[in-house]
Amino acid sequence: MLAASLAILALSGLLLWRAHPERSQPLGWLAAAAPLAVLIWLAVALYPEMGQPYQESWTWIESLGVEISFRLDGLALLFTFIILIIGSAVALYTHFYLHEDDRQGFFYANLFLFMASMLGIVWTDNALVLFVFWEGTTITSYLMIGHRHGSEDSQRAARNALVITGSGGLVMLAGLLMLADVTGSHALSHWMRADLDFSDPTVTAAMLLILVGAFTKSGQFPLHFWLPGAMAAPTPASAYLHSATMVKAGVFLAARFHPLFAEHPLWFPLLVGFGLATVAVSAVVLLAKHDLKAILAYATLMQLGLLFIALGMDSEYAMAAFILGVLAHAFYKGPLFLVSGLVEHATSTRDVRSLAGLARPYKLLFGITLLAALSLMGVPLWPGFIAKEYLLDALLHWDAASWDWLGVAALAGVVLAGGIFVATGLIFLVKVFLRRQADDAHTVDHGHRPPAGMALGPAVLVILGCALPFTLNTWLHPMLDAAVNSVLGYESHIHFHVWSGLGLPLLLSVVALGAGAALYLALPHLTAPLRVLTSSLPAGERWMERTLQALDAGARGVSNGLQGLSLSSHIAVVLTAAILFPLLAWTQLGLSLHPAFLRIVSESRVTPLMEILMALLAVTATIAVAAARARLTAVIALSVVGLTVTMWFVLFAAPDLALTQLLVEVLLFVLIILILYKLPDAALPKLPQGAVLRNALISLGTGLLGFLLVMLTAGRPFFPSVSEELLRTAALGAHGGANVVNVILVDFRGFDTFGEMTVVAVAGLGVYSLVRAYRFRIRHPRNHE
Amino acid sequence: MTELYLRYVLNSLTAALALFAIFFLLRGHDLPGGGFVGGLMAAAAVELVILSVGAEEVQARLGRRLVPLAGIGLLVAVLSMAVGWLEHGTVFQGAWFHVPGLDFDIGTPVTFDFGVFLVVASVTSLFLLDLTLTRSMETEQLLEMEDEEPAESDPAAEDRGA
Repeated sequence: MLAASLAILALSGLLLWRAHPERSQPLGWLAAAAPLAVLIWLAVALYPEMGQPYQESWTWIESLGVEISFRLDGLALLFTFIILIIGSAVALYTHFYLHEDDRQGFFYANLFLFMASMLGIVWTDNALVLFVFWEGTTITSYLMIGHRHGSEDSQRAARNALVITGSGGLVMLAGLLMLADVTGSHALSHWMRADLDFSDPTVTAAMLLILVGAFTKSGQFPLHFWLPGAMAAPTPASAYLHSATMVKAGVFLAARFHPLFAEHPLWFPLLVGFGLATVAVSAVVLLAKHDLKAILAYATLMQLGLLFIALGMDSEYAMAAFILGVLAHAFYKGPLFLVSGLVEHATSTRDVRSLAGLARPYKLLFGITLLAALSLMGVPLWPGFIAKEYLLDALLHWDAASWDWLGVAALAGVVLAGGIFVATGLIFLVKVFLRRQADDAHTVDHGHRPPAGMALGPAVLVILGCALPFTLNTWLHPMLDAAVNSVLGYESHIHFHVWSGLGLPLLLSVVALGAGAALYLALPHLTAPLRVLTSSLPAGERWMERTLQALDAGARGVSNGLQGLSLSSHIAVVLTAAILFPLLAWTQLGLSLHPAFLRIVSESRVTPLMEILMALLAVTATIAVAAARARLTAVIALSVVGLTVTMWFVLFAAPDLALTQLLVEVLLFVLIILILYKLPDAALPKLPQGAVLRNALISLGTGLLGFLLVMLTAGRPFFPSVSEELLRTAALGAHGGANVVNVILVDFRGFDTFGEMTVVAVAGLGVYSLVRAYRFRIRHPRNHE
Repeated sequence: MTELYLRYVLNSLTAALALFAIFFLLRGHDLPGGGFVGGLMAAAAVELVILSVGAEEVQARLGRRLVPLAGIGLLVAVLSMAVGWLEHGTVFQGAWFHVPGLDFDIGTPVTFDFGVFLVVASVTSLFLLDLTLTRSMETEQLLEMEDEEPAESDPAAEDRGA
């Protein structure tokens, strides 16, 4: 069922791509139906047995212990719910947002493949499969951020996102493999039951590596800058990937591993420390931004920081805060992003300084924003408020052992974040919708009224969000309960309070509300200090730019030094390495030579005279190659060497090799002749003395090495039984294959052969395009000057 | 470069070589031969045709089919792999089928070898054909230039030639 769901989503994305959804209205609605249908299917099938995880598995690579296994527990179910509902709303919205874009279909393909990958992350029970889906979201996110691939901003943002989240994923893979090594299994559910020894440095290292993956994916400080950059993506992608789902993958990973690592002494300081740093840094930058989407992006970073703070603790309250935080955030931040796209659609700008008074003409839009912003601001009884209350409660009750100060700082951070969220909500409500006059005094309302269908998605989401408090202890309770249990790692039956009474948390919430309102009012006077503050922050983006440039320069240096000069020096470098390294190994291993050739001679059926004659022929031809004055002479002499070797194969009963060698010699000769036609001068250029010496040394060295290697291997039959064994299996297993060489090629080592033929085909394509481009230039010389 | 004597001799020789190529391909399982050698043999046959009728003629008849043919070769190999998977549950395990009326069996190693044959034959022919074509076109270009005024040669082409 789960695998079929993934297939349905991926397939509908690919179908939409081919169907050109920009040309027909119903296809947009159909796109929204696919995730919804999957959601309904899963809900009908799974709701009755919510407490028990649902499992599915197939064997994939048996020898590596990799199986495609899905395990749908409470946490996974919660994320599934969010991914599919918001996915459906976003899919509908996309159709209207990209209505004139002829790459809409491609965007849909990415969106649905992303949806499938995200569900894969959430569902999988196998560490390696987790990694595959993880990078699946990275790649689809990259393609969506770079959707407007003509713009340089998009290119840079897409590259940053790919490099940071992609390499974070690789680091995570290392951690996963270390854990697999320690526990002897790839199954996440098996790990959760394992009793890890936290004094083992491997376990600590694995935890750190996995957290690097989680932090990079969820845009935590100091590599957070890719997420605001990712706002270059079309708004539906920002709303879906970079707010509601993909950036939550990091948080999800931390939650997945919470039962395993929560008691590790470093878990609390790391999660709370990085979360807090992200909250603080983003708070400052957010206030200095004027682009609606940038503001929302930094608010998202702060929310992700808060979620990490919640996960840093190990209590029922903290987990409830986490679960409610994820839910509430998805259902208010998603709509707010979509609204920012609607505002842009109506007015062609997202700059708050030039927006004003949209409440009157766009009442529906204002209604959506109002409901979402109330949740964002944490106004009592809205879901954002409930999540914040639980987080404050958890922090107040948490005994942080030696990290007391960090706990207090986190408490201050949560209140600060609350205040900033209030200011953000006010910026949306007052500046965009309510005030009469924009800062730069020209109204921008073009009256380009968005179609009603475009507002349907955010409207439904925001209404669902507002309905959350009423369903916490009824409909949603089994799912939330199961989710809290799977993050906690043990059974607990939590009852959710919408109103937890008067107390310190409520007081802090009120403080946050007041502080936020004050902050908003003071905002016009804060411009100068904010600029100083933001410019003093560490510029992660500049570091990354410098690192990438250094990497580029280094790579260019290495490749120019090793292969960029000319063909002959390139070959000289390769051959020198090929001589030196085996010689080094040889001296290290201390292998001695056997007079092997004597044995070969005594076993051969050929008269020594024949062999001596042929050896003489080969040696003479080789000398002729080196002494040749003209290229053609050298090529012909080289062919003689090749044909002598062919004769050798014939004499030593290797007809297969002889046949192949003969054909290769002939065709190569023809090819070289064809190339010789192109060279300007038939005579070889005169080389300087030093180059001649170098070439001679390298040639002699290569020949000597080949000779020594043959002596070594022929004198030492490492595996005497190999050829007989192959002969036997070929006759038995390979359907009576008497030609062992070919049976090995196409049957025993078929995969190698397949790789080789792929290389041949790719090389063919390369030559094809090079030659065609050259021929085109000859035919149209004027076009390219 | 169509040589008169070649044109007469090669018609029959090419046919023989083409048959030889298929012969080598088919007997590869039990006797010296196989897809790689067969493919090279086929490419040699193509080269003979190029020599006898000229590269332009071969390009017109065959040129556009070579790259797709290499792709088809890869596809055949992949499908052969997949048959073993469907039949025995292991990718690349050989599967053999008895066709009624034939006194030998057909197996996936043979079809895989056919894929190798297609790839090697088409890519090698592509090399030969493209290099020959480029050469003759360049000659044409030079001849045309001699007819025109001596100025304005193409520096890019000279760079590549040097």
